Amino acid sequence: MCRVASSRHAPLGLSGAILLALGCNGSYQEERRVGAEIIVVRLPEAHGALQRPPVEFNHAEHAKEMQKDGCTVCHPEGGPGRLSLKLGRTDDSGGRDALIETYHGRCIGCHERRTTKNRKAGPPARSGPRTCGGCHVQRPTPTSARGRVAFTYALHDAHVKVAEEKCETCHAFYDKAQKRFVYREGVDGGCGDFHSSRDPKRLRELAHSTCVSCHRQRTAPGQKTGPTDCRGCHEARAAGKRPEKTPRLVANQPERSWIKAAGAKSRLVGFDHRGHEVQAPFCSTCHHKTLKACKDCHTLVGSVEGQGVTMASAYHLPSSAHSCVGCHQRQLAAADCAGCHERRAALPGRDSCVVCHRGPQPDKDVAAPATMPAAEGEVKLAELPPSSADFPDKVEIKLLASSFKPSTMPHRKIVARLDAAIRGNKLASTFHGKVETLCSGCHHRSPAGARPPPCEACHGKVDHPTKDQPALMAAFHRQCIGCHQRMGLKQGCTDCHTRAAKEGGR
Amino acid sequence: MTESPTQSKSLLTPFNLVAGLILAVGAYVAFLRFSSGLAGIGAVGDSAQSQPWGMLISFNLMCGVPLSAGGFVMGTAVYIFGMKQYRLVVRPAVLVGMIGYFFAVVALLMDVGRPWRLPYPMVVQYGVTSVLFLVAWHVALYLSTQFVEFSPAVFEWLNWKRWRKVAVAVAVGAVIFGVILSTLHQSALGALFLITPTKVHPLWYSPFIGLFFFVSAIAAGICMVILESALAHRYFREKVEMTTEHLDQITIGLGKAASIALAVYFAIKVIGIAHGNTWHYLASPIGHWFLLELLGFSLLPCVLFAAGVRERRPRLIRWAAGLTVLGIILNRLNVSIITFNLNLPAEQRFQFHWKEVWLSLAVVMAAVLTYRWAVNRMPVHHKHPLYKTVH
Amino acid sequence: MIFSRRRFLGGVAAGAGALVATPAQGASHLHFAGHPGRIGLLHDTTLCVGCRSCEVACKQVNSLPPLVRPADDKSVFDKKRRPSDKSYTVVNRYRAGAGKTPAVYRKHQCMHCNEPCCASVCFVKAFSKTPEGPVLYDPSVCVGCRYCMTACPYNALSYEYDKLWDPRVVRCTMCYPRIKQGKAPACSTVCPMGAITYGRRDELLQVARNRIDRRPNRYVNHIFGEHEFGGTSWLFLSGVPFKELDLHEGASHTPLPELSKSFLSVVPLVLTIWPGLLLGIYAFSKRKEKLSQAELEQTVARVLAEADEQTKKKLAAAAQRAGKDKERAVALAVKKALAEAEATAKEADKEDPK
Repeated sequence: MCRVASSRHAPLGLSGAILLALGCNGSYQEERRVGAEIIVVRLPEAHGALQRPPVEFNHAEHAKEMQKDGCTVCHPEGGPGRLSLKLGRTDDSGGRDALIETYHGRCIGCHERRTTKNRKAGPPARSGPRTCGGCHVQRPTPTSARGRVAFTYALHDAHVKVAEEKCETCHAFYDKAQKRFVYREGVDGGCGDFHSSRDPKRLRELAHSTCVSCHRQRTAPGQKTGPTDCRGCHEARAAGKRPEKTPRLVANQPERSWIKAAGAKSRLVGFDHRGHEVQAPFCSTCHHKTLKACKDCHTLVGSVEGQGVTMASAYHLPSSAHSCVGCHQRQLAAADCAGCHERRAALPGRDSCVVCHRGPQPDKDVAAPATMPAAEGEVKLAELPPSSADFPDKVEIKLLASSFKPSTMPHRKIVARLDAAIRGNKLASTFHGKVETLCSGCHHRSPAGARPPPCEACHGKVDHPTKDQPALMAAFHRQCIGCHQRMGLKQGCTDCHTRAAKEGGR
Repeated sequence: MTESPTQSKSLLTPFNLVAGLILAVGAYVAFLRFSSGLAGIGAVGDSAQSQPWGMLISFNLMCGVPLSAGGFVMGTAVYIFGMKQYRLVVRPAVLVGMIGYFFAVVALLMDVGRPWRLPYPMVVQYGVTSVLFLVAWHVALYLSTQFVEFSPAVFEWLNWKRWRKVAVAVAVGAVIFGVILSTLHQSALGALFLITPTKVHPLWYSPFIGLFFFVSAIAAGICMVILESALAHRYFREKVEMTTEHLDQITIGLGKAASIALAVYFAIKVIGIAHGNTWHYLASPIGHWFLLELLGFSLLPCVLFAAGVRERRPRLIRWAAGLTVLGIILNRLNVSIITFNLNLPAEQRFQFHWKEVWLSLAVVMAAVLTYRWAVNRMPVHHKHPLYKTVH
Repeated sequence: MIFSRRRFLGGVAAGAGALVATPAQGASHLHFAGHPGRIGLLHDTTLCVGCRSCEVACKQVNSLPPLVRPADDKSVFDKKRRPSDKSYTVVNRYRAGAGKTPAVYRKHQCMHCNEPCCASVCFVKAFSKTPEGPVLYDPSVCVGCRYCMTACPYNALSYEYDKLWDPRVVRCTMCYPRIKQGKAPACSTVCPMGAITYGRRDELLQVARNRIDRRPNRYVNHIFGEHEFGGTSWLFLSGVPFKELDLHEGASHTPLPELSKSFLSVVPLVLTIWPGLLLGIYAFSKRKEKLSQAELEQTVARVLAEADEQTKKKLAAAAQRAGKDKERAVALAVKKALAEAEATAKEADKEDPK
């Protein structure tokens, strides 16, 4: 057998070896999600292909272990009162080998020092891998759970209190002439206003060094401080409405105004800025790049500053996270609304334009006060008409006639419940306009009014596939069950109609 | 040499006892199959619906047929390529082939829902778009062809001289016919799976799967001849005329052919991977299983054969032949059972039922006993005294 | 003779020509889009609530045993089921509901493909695709080989393993008898949500597209079954990726029977080429044998001839030598005789000195 690997058999053996190698080294993709505290350490792409897999570094665990020694064990000073976010260095000027040496020297060195063998006294410490494969583990590329930091009004308010209302603590604009940081009231928004469009990486560095450094420094007893670990800021938190106790952030914004733009021809839109402020968790929900008004960057035909997005799109694009129409559309996903609205067309109808565009013509000279009269923008819905009496609905099903008894639908109760939800919601009542709009939620594809046609007026005993019109039984079930699904109500068969005596089949 | 072997010896040898037990229980299971339907031998549940072909088809038929390819390979070698030095192994190879196909059909009769309708694709209605139609016709024709090829031995045994003369005259024609049929149905067994790309794993599935099955069948046939000749030499010593030196010579020659066949098979399998661009699957657990089959059971025996030929070691060649036979079985089972429907839940995949497995083994045992019966009586491994100088 | 050989051959040629002259029906550049007006069923999985009324109705019209577990026992969805010989259709749950997000269900049954694999692989042609749409099965020729079940990409066929004398392959028949009477299949009639719409396949495709257009956030922008593996009679709309519904997402549009064709087309070629090839090899090997035999004989003859020549030469040389020897012997003898004569004469001279 010793002579098997002779030259004559080499090609075969070689091909076999190649196949075997492929089998061991290939990447076999699976989905992996890692927590916010995991930092994936790898050489920047500029340094060429990786020889070893990236290292998944658990920062939280290390920070906890080294709590007593503090952050400076790994992170040197990067500026006055600031830490460098990089391991053992302030910049990446050293090149590839220097970078590798930094990490290997510090990580493996520390792990070596913390072995039982090397510790002179005291209890054994937790240490880490000291071999290549211990850190460089071949795994499929993960996706990080690290989310955007939800810096809400409430958080801002807490910081304002800590900074004793000195805005320049955080908000600073570097004045080149004065060669120092100044704060311009009413002009400068958040850090991201300036940094996110120019250099997002710098924003990340700044945010970590400024925020985390400050949190670190507040170690005096009784001092409230913020998180110093990744998860504390980055774990996704629900960003809801502004809590009532948080005072209103003032930055020279109007309470109510007409939205006027040069060149726009539609009737003016009256905008209640103060009323809308409570709907969003932060200013940048709408003022996503700067505190200026939308139309200042998003001009009529689009501009470089506005990244080519026209004024019409900026205010109306239904898919946008920052436009008026987009936000209004997303409100329709709420449980109280989704019952009817999910079934309707995805885009707002043309008759909804005048709900906002209610003001005077733009070319007409508007009266001097730029603010809107308070009366504009409030809609009062009339009371429910008395014709909405109980509506017992008896349903007969052919094939399963023996299975279920007829169902009694509490029509008045349903209407009253939905009506109350609409009245209590400003957006809903504004856009509904009339009480009867509610009726067309279920009595669809027919003229809106207080006496809409019943279901069986259009839905027959059989499907009408060309018109995509289901038969009566399916119409009832789709309408009722669909709405109940979206509103999170009971959907079981026996929740609406009782079972008849068993006659086979079931 | 032609005396009956059992008159002076007892029938209760260990082998006979085991064989008897297997056959007895097998007969009981066969009775169950024919009294309570296939469900009586374990075809129940979602597994039987999603994996309709069990051991009887996947093992007895799909493995049995390539392992019976020795008949056409040796026939071609001796009669068509004129390699007269192998003529002494032609008859045993044809016998093994014939028995293999016959008992594959027996297993098939056990497995199909209505065995009495098995001739239907021949005489009632033709589904010509089906690869199985081809398989059915060819197996039927090939079985007959093999009988014709083997009939000289039968006629010598029965001493029907004129019949024998006729049979010998049509031998070459039968061999050619047999090669054509074999080429097609060996590859057709692979082509059965062409229509199931969503069920066979991409590493085993290829538009060339028919070619893979054909080439591996050639290798399988050669290896079965190697093994059979060695086993017969050992266990039917008094019936075998060949000397050990001659057997070793033949073994080495066959080893050469097997090595080439396996090298070609390995090459076309690699081409298959390249063609389907399925390299990345090699890194998965199933990919490792595939590599085990390809490297351990195809490439390794190829190298062992080459070594055995070069160093003139017949024993090594025989071990390599055994490895190859296992590889063929593994390959056929991989395609039809093990990697078939991998994405289905476990209860819908192949499940072992002892009755079906036992029946499958019983059929194999019956084949072995038939082979023994034939070798003990007919001039398979030796020449009939009246025809010593002929051919 | 009236029926001469020439006439016969001429007739055969003419007949072959006539066969070839008919218009080519298997021309590969053309695409058969299916029988126009054939029916289909649209299953909108966003509407399915897993009530299993379709399963109940199917069992009723096909006289199958009733549900093993009652329809409101939702634990039946904990395991994926498949059609069986007692249930021609099943509803499976593919995503559990979470809060207000409803669970996702899909009904599974025979898809009545446009190019059915079962029909293609049956070696006794027991399956046929009707122009109306459903795929039908003829139990009177079925042998029970179950290749159709192996081939079906949707695992929709089942076998009656527990029957001894008349086991059949069973599956959804699209309620063909009801369709012939102008009624809709039982499942579509009974579905309370109207999740199954029955109609002409081309109209249903339009309906499906309209639904996607009207509510793009609700549906994945794709109708499954329109083109997959050549298209099926059952069309599916979904709110989740089709892969999650255990449907072959991204499937090729090529019908699967085409894959078998690639092999079967080689068969006649092998049947025609192999005999010639093998006979040729046989002839070559026979000829080679003959040649080597002749060469052997030639060599033997030559060697023998050479041996002959050499022997002759040897004999001639020997003869020459013998001749020379003889001459020498004669000369010697003469010399000897002369010497003797001389000696005798000398002696005589001595005796008589005169």
